[in-house]
Amino acid sequence: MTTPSAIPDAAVNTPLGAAVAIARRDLLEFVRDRRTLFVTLLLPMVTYPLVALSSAIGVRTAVTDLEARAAPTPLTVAMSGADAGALAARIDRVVKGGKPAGVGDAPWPSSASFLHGDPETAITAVEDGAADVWVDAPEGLVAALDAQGTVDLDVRFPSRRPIGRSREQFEGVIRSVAEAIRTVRVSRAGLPESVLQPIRLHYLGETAGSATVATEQILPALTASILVLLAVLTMTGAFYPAIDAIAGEKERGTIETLLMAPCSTGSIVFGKFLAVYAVTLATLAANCVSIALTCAVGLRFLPAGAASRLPALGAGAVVTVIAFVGLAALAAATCLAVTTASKSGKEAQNTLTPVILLVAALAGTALVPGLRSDGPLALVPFTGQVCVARDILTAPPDSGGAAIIQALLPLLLTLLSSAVLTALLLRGTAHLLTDEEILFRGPDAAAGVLARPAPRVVPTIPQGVIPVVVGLAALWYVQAFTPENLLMGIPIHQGIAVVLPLLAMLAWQRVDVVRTLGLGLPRSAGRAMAASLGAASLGAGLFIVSAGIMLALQGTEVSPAIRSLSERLIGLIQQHPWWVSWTLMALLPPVAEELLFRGWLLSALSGERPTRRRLAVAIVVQAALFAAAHVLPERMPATFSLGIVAGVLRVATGSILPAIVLHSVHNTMPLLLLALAGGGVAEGGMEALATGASTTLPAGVLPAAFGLLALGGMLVAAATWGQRGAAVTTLLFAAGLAGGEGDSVSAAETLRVGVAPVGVTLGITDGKPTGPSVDMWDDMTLRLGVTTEYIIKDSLAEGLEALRRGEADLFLGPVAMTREREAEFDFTHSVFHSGLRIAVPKTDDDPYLAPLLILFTREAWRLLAGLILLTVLVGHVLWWCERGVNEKSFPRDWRRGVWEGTWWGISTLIASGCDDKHVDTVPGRILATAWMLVGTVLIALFTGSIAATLTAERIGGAIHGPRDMAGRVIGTQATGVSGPAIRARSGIVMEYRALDEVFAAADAGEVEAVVAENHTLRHAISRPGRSNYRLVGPVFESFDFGIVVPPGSPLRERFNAVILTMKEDGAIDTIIDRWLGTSE
Amino acid sequence: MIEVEDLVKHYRSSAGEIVRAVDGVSFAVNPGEMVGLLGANGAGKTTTLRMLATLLTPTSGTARVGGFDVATDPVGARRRLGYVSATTGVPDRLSAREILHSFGALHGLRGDALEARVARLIDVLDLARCADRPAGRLSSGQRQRVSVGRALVHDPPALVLDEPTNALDVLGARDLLAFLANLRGDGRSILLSSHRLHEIENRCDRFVLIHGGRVVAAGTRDAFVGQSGGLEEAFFAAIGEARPE
Repeated sequence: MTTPSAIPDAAVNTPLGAAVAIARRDLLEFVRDRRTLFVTLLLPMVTYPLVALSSAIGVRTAVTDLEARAAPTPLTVAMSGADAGALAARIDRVVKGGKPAGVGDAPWPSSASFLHGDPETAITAVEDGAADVWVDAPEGLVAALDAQGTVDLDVRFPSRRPIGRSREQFEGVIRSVAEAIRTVRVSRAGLPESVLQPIRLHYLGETAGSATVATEQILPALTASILVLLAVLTMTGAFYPAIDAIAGEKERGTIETLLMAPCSTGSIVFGKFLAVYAVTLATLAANCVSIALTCAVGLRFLPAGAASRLPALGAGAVVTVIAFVGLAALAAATCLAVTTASKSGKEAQNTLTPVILLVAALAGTALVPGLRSDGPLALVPFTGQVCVARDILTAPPDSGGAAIIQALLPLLLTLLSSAVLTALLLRGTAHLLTDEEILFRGPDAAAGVLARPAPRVVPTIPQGVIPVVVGLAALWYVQAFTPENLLMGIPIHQGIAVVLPLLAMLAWQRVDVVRTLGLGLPRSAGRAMAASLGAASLGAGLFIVSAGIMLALQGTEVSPAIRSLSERLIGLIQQHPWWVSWTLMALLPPVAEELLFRGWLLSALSGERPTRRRLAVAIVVQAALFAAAHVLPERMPATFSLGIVAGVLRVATGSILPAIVLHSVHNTMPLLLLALAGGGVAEGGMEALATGASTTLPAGVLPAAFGLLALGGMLVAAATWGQRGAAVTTLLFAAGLAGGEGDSVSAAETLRVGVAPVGVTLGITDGKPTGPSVDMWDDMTLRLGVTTEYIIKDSLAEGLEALRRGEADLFLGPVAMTREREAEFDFTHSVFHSGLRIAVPKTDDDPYLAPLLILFTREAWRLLAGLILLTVLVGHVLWWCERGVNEKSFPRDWRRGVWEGTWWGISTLIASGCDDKHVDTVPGRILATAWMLVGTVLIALFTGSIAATLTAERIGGAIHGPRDMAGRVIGTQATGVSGPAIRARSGIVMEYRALDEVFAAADAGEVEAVVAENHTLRHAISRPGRSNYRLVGPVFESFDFGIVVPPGSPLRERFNAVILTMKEDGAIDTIIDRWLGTSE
Repeated sequence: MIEVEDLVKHYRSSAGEIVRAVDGVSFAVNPGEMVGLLGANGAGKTTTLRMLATLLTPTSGTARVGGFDVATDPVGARRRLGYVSATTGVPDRLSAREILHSFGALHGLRGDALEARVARLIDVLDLARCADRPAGRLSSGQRQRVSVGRALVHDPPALVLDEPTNALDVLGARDLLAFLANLRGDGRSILLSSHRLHEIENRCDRFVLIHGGRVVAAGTRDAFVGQSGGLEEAFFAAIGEARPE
């Protein structure tokens, strides 16, 4: 042996050199593996020709089909009647004349044949298939044809078998016959023939033949399918080498020799990757060659003329190959990562197979027609590459260079994403490769997947994410059963999506609960106080700042989803005591969500001994998941910020408590703001702000919010870092909002404006008009440069009368635009849009609660008492019969005996039998039989009554929406708008002068529901004393509301211009929001 | 030169307890020495050897190979160490020559130096007849020799072998142990663990006995055996088991 010496420095390998050495050895092994060679090389050579063959057949079949459909077929007509022969002759002449020009693609019979007979024979012939149609030609028919009138021709087609094209053929023929007759009549009338044909079409150029059309329809789908196939086969090419590379080495026992290589784990993994990637590229190359050969040969099988319409394949092929080189790298890295996590070859195969299916699904998205490859889609692994390739290959043939240039950016994006993802996967693989658990501990003996894993300090990352994902998925299923109202909805939501998954994970994976969930007690009371106060302040400020952010991002558009949520929140808050709303909004969700996201998930993502960087990444990822879990995209920025701040709090203080306080205060803000606003419609801005549907921020609020944030930050910093931190956080003061609209100079013109109380849009207070209409009008006067003189009337009708008489130049309203009014006056553009709504007195009409409540009526108690007494009596009698004979079932002793007897009675009554007792004596058995019969009847009665109540409730139950108005008495104001709407829905209308009177009638039970304009109604039921009403159903019968002017008034154009401007810059919406809370 | 000081390895079992596989082991192997690591199954031999081979990271303590700490400079340690275990296999589809070649290239050998080294190893390990056959078709003894050759291709000053004679028959075991003993002459440190006490009884310079993750006895054969009859008795006595009569 040689003397061991210090290894000469020249012999030390570079990292890349080591990787290459590993790769070379692996490749040497691969090429000696027959199975790999087969999958890599032979399979593609065979696949594509087979695919091409079948699709060529498909194309040809489609073409033949199209052509067949256009080929003419004979028409058989069964005729009856005296003039049958003559009519037949006419039809025959027309058919023989051939298809007239200008009929296009409609089918024309190749020939016509006729069967003559009586009607029954003819009809039978038609139904049996001997004829295509029956025509009745009674005497005088042909004569009438030659005269001036219209002939009614009775025809009949088969009713019991498909008609096919015979109907079109027949109609075409008859049209030609009619055309011929028309020509005769026209010339007889002395008119030229051109009277009948004012326009004649001339088709210039060529029209696409059916073959080309078929090809154009099929080729894109075919291309996409081939690309998907290519992606999957490339992935398969990586399958075996990857398994062999790692899992195979584990099985052969050579993994240790690999791990002893004198280089970093990264080099080892890179070397393995190079080997697998090389094989994958070979697979890709084999596939591409095969596709190219197949296409070259396959062109011959396409119908003539189709080949010329194929797009230029050259550049497209290059782009495809480049994209797929990236895909191959990704495939190799993915397979390698999965196999490294497996402990044996079999496990690797089992794990890799679903991954391939997933890749197939991702690649399969290329088959979806609408997806375009530009933009973010290009970054999605596997999908991006296939879509880019598909787009360039199916680009129209004449687009040439433009298509290539357009494809460059997406191509680069796919390469970028492939490279980044590959690098990440390889990093993960390096970690997995040296994982001691995977390497040495082997599959756990006793256990399956669901066995409890070993205890840990904090959960693993997958365990952290699983409850979030599972909770969301469970929520999807539960949604079907979640009631609309938030009283039940919120607890169910939180329970299913947050609490249950968290509890399940806690039970399954034993962790250091105090550390994971942050439940530890704070280090000092002072710090805890400071942290909590700071958190509270942060929560308040964050809420408002988030509202500001949402405004900035969304402008004045409020999405329907947000609006619906906002309305339900308001409903919840208004209809229940404050502590109920507070518990549901600011106690339950914060605690549950903080424990899950900032406790469980954040701990899992951070790990046991996190570095600062890892903490930062963990906080961001956790906040992203938190935002995603709240589903509505509009709320995501706000939820994300909340997640970040709460995460920082949790990490900085080490405790979950400040985060809970933050979240709780944040969620209390809506309640606070609503309380401040007093619940009135006039302060609608607060209401909207409270529930996230606002479109403006009240002035001065934003700087106050930033102030709160700064204060909170300082307090928390003081609690965690001491004085240094407090100094650091004093940089949070931002500028306030810029001021509002510009004023315009008022000018001389004065307009007489008629006003009258109109719902909530205009009211008269102390002789002055107020309301959103007035605000809007004020704005308009500024823009128009006019001044106002108000003409105040008592009602809408009077106001319109004033307009008629010329006492006013316009009526402000705004007034609902109906046809009658439009006939008499002119309206401006719509300034307000609303509709009708229904309000009903609240009943406990929960259909599932009602039958349960039956149990609590007095009758039910009496019934129950009687039943119990009867049972006890029966128990007595039976005991008396059975004692002495049947000691086991009915003891002699009175107390025990009766007890057993009663139990027997109950059991038998409900379950028709008692398991552990038997009745032995004859009188006892007679009694028992009687009791069982009684039991059957009683139970049936009981069940029946519940069912009956449910049914009755369903039929005669409360009104839930406009469709339930039929036959009901509905009260409304006599505005002329709601009445017809209700009558149209078969409701019985009772009209009153004022809305208050309608409510009074409803209170008295004279009407069952109140219908009025949506906003007015909502405002009305928010008043004290009306809390027992609620809105049901959607807004129906929408109306536009506009300002009324006399017909032909020049003011209309001026008003319209201004109104449009105000709509565009959102001024109208702002006003409506301010007054009414949400704009329609 | 192999040095182990207070080496500790803990891990959590699936039942949740902490298993102390190696609980404070210390010993050393000097150049030119062959040391036998003895112990019952589960005593911690394999874990200790794996830590030396940088396959496991120690929970605490130090292990040094040729002066390089396995925890802080594993690559340096690997260059100076050759490791063969009972479960080590060889790639089935490559021949012995190719295997030695590829590992030599991995360690940075090139060209003539590589060829010469490979040829020398084949010669010394008596693989000349089967050097070009796929390793899957070699006997277990030949495969084990290929493994040893692979461990020696980079001429390491330390060798660690975990039950290398397990798969071998009597002749193969004897030949292998003789070969290893020869290697001592070049100043290498050889650490060897085995079940078969009679095989290594007269080969090793010193013995280290591990039980329950700790060293319970260490010393030369004579110091070990002392009053008891042979190594086996000494073994039982040291681990406190009464010998079954």
